[in-house]
Amino acid sequence: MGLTGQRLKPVIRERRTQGFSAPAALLLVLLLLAWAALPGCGRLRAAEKNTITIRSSFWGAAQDAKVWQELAREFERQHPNIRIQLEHIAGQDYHAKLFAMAVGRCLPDVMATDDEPFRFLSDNGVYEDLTPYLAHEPQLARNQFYTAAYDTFHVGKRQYALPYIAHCLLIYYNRDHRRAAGLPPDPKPNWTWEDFNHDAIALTRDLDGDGRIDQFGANRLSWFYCLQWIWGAGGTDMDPQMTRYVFDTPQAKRGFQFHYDQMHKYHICPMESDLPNMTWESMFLTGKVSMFMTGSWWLEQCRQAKNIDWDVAPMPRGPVCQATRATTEGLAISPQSPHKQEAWEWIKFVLSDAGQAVFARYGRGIPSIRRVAQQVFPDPKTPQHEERFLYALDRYAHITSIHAHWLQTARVFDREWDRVMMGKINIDQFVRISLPEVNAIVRGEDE
Amino acid sequence: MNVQPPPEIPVSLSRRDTGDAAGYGPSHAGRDGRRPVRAGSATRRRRYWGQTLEGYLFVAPWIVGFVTFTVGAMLYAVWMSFQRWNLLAPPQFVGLANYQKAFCRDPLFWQALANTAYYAFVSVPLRILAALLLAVLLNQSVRGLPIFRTIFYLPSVVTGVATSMLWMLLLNPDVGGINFVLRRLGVAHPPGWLTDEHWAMPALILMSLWSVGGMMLIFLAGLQSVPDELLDAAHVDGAGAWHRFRHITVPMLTPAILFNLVISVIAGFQVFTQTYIMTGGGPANATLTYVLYLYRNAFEYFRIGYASALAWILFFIILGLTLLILRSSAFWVHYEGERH
Repeated sequence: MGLTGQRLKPVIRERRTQGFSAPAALLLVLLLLAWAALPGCGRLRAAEKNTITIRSSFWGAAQDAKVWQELAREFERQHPNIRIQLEHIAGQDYHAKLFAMAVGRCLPDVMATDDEPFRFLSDNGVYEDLTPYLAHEPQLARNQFYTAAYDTFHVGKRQYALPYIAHCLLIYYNRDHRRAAGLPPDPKPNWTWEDFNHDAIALTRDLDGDGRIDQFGANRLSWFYCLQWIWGAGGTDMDPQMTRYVFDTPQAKRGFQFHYDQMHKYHICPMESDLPNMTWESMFLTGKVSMFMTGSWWLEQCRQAKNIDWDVAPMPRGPVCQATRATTEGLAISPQSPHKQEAWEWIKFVLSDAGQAVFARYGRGIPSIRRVAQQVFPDPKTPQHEERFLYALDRYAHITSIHAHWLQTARVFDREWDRVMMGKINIDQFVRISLPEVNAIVRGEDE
Repeated sequence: MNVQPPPEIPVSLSRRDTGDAAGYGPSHAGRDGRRPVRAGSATRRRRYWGQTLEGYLFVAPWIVGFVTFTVGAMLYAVWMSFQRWNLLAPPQFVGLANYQKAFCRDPLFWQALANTAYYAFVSVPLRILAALLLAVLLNQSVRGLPIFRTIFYLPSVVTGVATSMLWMLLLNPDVGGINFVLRRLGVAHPPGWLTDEHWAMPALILMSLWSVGGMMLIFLAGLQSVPDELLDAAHVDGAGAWHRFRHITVPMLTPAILFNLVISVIAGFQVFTQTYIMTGGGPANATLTYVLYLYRNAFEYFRIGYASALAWILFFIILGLTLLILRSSAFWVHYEGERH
């Protein structure tokens, strides 16, 4: 019996091996490769019969997805022959992903974009020039938009994207803290830098008497958030041709110095060692910071906080003027798109009254069309002064000079600003060390 | 029980059963000393090549992937390293300019390399020592040993991102667990860790000790393969615990140390996740590591040519260090009591 078993086994094994021949294996391999390769092509090119599919990408959180889904539903209802395929690219690397798609020639038809990487991508042909499309659309003329938002995407005489929402920075403040510090609950509407520092000093307090500050007057700022101080002092970031940074002017230095003094002279901003592991937003909501400079994008989240009495104040007036920084999110069309006209219809819908109102309703930002923003952005049911954002955006907002190497120059400033915040170098040294390096980058000399 | 096949069973079949590949060849004698039957040699040759082809076809998906996405990409990166290219505009051939820039005109290259070398050369010995110490402790006979082994190994299977988030909490200067303990021990002003340019890299090195579980397992396996007879003989000869460890256990562990050393040096020079998530290279570039700098050049500044040059420079640095370690192993690695 045992011997029979020994004899049978090899025979069975031989048959099994012969049964799976080389052609069958080859077929299996080809099928596997096809299975791996085909879905990608299919996904990008699938289109229902008689329906044109427009791919539209955006970033953000789940709330952003809801906004775009609602817009897409309504658009599809109005345009039954166009389907919007939303592509939600979450995380911080939205533009790196867009860049990879551009290289792979599979860009979405319509892309959300913002100011920081815009210039690099527009210089490299990632965006369609929308100027010819705008020629026939008077409702989308420049004067319909907040100028700062519109101009963000304007290069030379070409418009590469249209803003769908805009933001600007103001000061969120805690009214309870002000009362407790013996200050009026609201700052003066025309307050100045000196008023701001005065209030922040009063609001910086050791509440439990242990010798450590528990409540700080204001948040600490990156170099980038100091731009409104620089504009307020009469300075600016770059020369008009964007060939070099001009932080070495007395006005620019004065703007930086204003915040340097807040950190190292008046100690009204927490140092790193004073920071609990919290975001600035959390620190404001939990009462660790009394005045917080941030944008209109945070308004909706702040509205959810029920335990504090807060409002927004205008930017304090500097020695020369009042200034804030505007940021923008826009929509662009890919030059690779086979359905540019349908893509343009989608953008027009997003910028229509109905589309713009959706952004305001979800609190995503200020509608970029001025007329719509004034109608729908301020919430009459809240006690806060949201209309101050509209006034700031309209009257005293500036935009950052964004060039093709912006991210790289920002890294240099970040590095040296870290040392400023640690108190290891002063503003003169910051400017002296960083400017030659960044200006070489702007001129392309480091290539 | 070894049962010989009876004579009527074909020779080739019996060889296949033993897995003897020589049986497929036309000119080899079988184990029973018979020459293969010449009339079947052509069939066997066809079968041999058929089966070889089948084997290659089955591994073809992997080979295609490896050649396309690894070897192909590496070779493509060589070509890209000689270009000035952002992938969108047409490439411009610049010869060795990217390499020249890295070595001669880019202070950040040297800073990133120095930071990475600092991290690797300090963390690697510490990690090996910590893993060895843990392995020795976990090689003792104590109750609940499997539980301890599991606990010390677990951090190794946690993803880098989760570990980074956890350590950001632990290293928080104000409310972090580490400074809490230091304050309890009487340190009035504990370090700012990730926010202090002098302490940020030591903090990352400290954190690297968190995931020595993999190395520990290799040492543990090595410790368990040290022959008891050798240790007993040394004990009988009067050697104390330290001398047995120093002169028997450690030499027997040197192959495992070599393996861990090579792998750790490679991983140390490729450190990325921690610096990307925890510090972003800061403060003031104190934790700007080589791969983080490479990543920025490729995916933030879109300088693909320069990033490719940086990648190849790193490849040769790691290759050089690995060869150096392997060459040096002749002097300190022992295999079964003999020097390699």
